[in-house]
Parts: sequence; C-alpha cells; structure tokens
Amino acid sequence: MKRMAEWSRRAAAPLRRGAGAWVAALLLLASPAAAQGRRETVSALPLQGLRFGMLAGGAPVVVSPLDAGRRASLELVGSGHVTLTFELPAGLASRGGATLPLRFGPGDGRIVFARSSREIVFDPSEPVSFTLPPGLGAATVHLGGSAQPAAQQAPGEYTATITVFLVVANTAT
Amino acid sequence: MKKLALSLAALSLVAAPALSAQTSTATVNASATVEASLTAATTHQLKFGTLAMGASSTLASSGGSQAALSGLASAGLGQIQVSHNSNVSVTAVIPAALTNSVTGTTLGFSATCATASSSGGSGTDTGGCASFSFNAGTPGTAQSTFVLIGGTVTGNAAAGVGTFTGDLEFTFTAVN
Repeated sequence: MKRMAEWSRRAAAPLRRGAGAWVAALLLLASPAAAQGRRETVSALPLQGLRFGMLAGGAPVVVSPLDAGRRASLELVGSGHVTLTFELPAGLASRGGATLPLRFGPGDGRIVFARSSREIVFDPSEPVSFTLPPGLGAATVHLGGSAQPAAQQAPGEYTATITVFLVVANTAT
Repeated sequence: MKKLALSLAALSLVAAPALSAQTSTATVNASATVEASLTAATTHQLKFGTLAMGASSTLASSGGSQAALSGLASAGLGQIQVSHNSNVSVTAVIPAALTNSVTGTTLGFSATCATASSSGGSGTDTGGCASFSFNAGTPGTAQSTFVLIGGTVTGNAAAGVGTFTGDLEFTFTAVN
C-alpha cells in the first residue's frame, strides 16, 4: 500500500508540473474541429448587374430587387456565418464626367435561400448578417435601387461599380 | 496559484471554438443610359434660282460671302434646324448632279455645309458635307444648331433648259 502511494506520487508529479499542457493536449485531441479540420468558406459569384435601362431627364427610375431582368444579383455558395457590406456609389458616371445620382434604401436588398422559403429583406446601405447552413445550398443576393436623373441630365451611358465585402466568421466546431 | 492560472488559460484556449474569418469581395456593375433629344427639320431649300443657260452658280455656306437663306422664290442657302441636347454627328449623301426630270439631262453639283447657332447666322464651315459633327454647348440642355447648305451648280449649255433638282440626304446621330 505504501509502495502504491509512492508510485502514485511519482506518476502524478509530471502531471502536476505541466498540468496545463496535459489538459490542453487532451482537449486538442478531443476537439471535433481538429479531428475534422473543417473550414467553412463562402464564395460570391456575380450573376448580373443593376440595369436601369433607358432614362429620360427628370424622370426617376426604380428597380425593384424582385425585377429579375434589371436587378443586380450575386450567388453565395458555401456555408458559414456571413456578413455582407455593400459599397454603394452615390451615382453613376458618364465618360464625360457627368453624374447621375443613385439612391438605395430599406427593401432594396433581398436574400433568397436556395433550399428553403427563407428570405431576408434588408437595406443595402447597412451590413447584413446571416448563416448559410452546411448542405443547404446557395443563397442569392438581389439588389435594387433608384436612379434620379436631373431634368438637364446629359445624355449618354452611365456606369458605376457596386462592391460587396463578404466576411465569413467560422466557428470550426 | 500561478500554475493554476496557466492551466486555466490553456484550458480556455482549447475549449473555445476556433474562431477565424474569411474575407472576400465581389463587384457588380450598375448602368443606365440617358436618352438624347434630337429632331431635325428642313426650314429652307437650297435654291440657285434662275440661271442663264451654261452659267454656273455658287452659294457659299459660310464666310463673308455667305448668301441669304432661300425664300419661296428667291435663291439662297438651304437650312436644317437641329434641336438637340447632346453632341451630334452628321453624315450626308450628296448627289453629284442635279437632274432635269423631264429631259433626263444633268448639271454638275457639289455642296458645302456650315453650322450656325442662329437661323441664317454666320456659319462655320464644316469641311465638307459628307461627315461632320457639332457639339452641345451644355449637354442635357435643349438647344438648336442650324446646318447651312450651299454649293456650286456647274453650267452646261448642252443640258438645255428646265428645272434641275436633286435630293440631299442628311442623317443626324446623337453622340456622347
């Protein structure tokens, strides 16, 4: 019994000295994230641009995010907790330097999930966050807006770029 | 106590979910086309008037010798009024001869063009009628430009007498 107690103290000594390291190592091995090595990613694929079409001076045009022919669309593929932030131009620009003002507001953004009836309606001037669950397919982001040509708007073609910043926060568990 | 703190730190480090973030960007374009306003109307026909048989005549469309606009009966420049709010390019098909529709005989013809900011105003030579352009002073603002058309008819006594005519076809295109 005395020998048993002595053996126990010897065996426990290294454990006491590096208790933190031992526990860490054990938990690391037991971690599902380490075991699976999973890293969730989401890709954004532009499908089409926001097309206001032919405008007359002084006549604003609104494109709804439900307008399949003219709305901007991006497809999100993958899984994870996604935050989208849009860099929205204040206006479209012509080659001659003229500006055609744009406006975006609540309801101009819409996210449709491929394998569910879930939809998110959002204001693209604010970040929007949501989760793409693994195995549930893609989501599509639709963007509308309004163009506000002035009465004396110079004729011609106007363009701008909308940049979408995508952050996927992974919890590798 | 110190060991305990270190152990707890290690424990929490491993037990917490491993957080990481993936960032990326994508772009889509936005576009619109603002339509131009453009109309053209002929306000005066190019008329050389009555010429002696075999005589030539020239009506200058620009410069100091610029002739007056034609009237109902009087000779004078042709004029097209173009209302526009953008820059405009012009092409024209000019006949090489005026034709007597009764006899079929012809007189040689060439045209010159100029633009003016007012009706019958002092024109600026366009360097030919086949292809030229003029700009909108303030794009987006409706304005008028007047295209003055002159030219030379070359006399030919063998062509005989009668009325000789030809069609000058102008095409105006709004450009930006």
